[in-house]
Amino acid sequence: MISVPSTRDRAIAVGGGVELFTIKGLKAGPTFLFHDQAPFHDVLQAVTDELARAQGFFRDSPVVLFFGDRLLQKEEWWKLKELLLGEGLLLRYAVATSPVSRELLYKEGLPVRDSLVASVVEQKTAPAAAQKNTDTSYLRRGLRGGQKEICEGDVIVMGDVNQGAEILAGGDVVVVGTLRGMVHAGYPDNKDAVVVALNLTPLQLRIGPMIARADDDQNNRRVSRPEIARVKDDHIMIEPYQGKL
Amino acid sequence: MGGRAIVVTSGKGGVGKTTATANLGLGLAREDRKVVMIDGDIGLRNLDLIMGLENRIVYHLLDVVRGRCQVRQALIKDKRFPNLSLLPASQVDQKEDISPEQMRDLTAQLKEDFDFVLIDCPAGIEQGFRNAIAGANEAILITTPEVSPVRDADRVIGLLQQSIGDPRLIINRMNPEMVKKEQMLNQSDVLEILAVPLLGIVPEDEEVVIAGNSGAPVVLNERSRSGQAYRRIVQRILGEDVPIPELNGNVGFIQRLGKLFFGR
Repeated sequence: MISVPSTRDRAIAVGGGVELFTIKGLKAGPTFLFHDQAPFHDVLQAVTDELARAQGFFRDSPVVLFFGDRLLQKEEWWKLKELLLGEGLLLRYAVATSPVSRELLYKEGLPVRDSLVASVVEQKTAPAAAQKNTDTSYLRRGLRGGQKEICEGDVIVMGDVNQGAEILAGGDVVVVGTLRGMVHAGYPDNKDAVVVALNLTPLQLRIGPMIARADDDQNNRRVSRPEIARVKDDHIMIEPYQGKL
Repeated sequence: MGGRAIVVTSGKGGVGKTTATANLGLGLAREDRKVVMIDGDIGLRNLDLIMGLENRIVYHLLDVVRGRCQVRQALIKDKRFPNLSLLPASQVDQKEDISPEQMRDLTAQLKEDFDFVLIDCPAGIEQGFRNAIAGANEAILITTPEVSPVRDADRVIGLLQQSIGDPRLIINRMNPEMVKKEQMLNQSDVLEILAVPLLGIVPEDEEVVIAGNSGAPVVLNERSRSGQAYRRIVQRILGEDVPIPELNGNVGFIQRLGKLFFGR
């Protein structure tokens, strides 16, 4: 059924020892594991009972939802969501294998991931990167051509970073505006660094040892949604920013 | 210290700084303001040519700074407007022959006698640029709707913000036909990148070239479209709220259609 590295478990057993609902404290944060074969009604009841027992312990906690192979129905998801949000939980992302469930959850606005294991690995590396970067440079303005910002830690820019401007950061770079200039995040070799911008349209982007450049015919690429660039499989990937790293 | 000292700058050369300075100077003089234009382009002077005053130069900026003459001896009165003067540059000296401090003092001195001191800045961001902006308390930035002048303008804005503050922008040589065909950056593209207040848009106009060669800037030509644009800009400099018209009337509509269809 569910195979996840377990640390601190709290499970309730109903009817013959089947765990309808389990909460695991993983590195990704509290993870809610839902039995993927049992009738959803029973699972929902188990969740209700468990959260009642927790007495608001998880209020304001960002949690990961693990659905396994379940074919989730829209009504079922709504009931569950209502219950979870009613308990004051913050939903980080869902892990589901069935394409139907994945599509449903994605359409419902919840980020979906392939597996919990990968995310555990991802989370393992992130704090290490965060520890290394001690100071953050916060610019309460944009950067124009010819201007340069160098920082050992993370850089936050409140404004546009125009062509001809440069940012060299040991950690992440966040641009609350349009990024057109050159950014090197994770300098010199931190592959875990990310670049986030409201409009991510640089001609060249560097993360750690990786360099990506815009397609030649993509010179005037414009997007109207926030995007995040990160290193995946030794390539810099750009994807929509879902409000979470 | 009553007058306003305005530097006209661009970063890139050839986008129309000197032409703009001449037109703004004449336009302000036409409105009965006392105006002096300083040609800050030492070694490559042009403003006298555009104004058709080349033959009257006796002393120049460097002579004043070196104490060879009084300021008023070097000032050349315009042949059309007695309230407009030109302080020409030297053609034989270099930008390094004058310091920002000397320019600041000179500008301060001229501000006492004139309503407007317009400083025509040389291209580039080196000493000539630093000299030209030293005495100014306002800046007007000229760009054309093309990628490389806009990038240079962006660089210059960054430098101006360290001293004078945000410049006001004039987009020069806007060609409505090319904008319509999306061959040229449009007004909102330029403003999106530069993010400074827009002072005006001057359409591309062959009469500007003719005027430049004949020493009679377009602002004096009642029929010229670019002349009309400069006259409106002059009104805005004087603090009047004159709307900036869409070029060719329907360009804005076409742009909006384009945005609808291409989602851009």
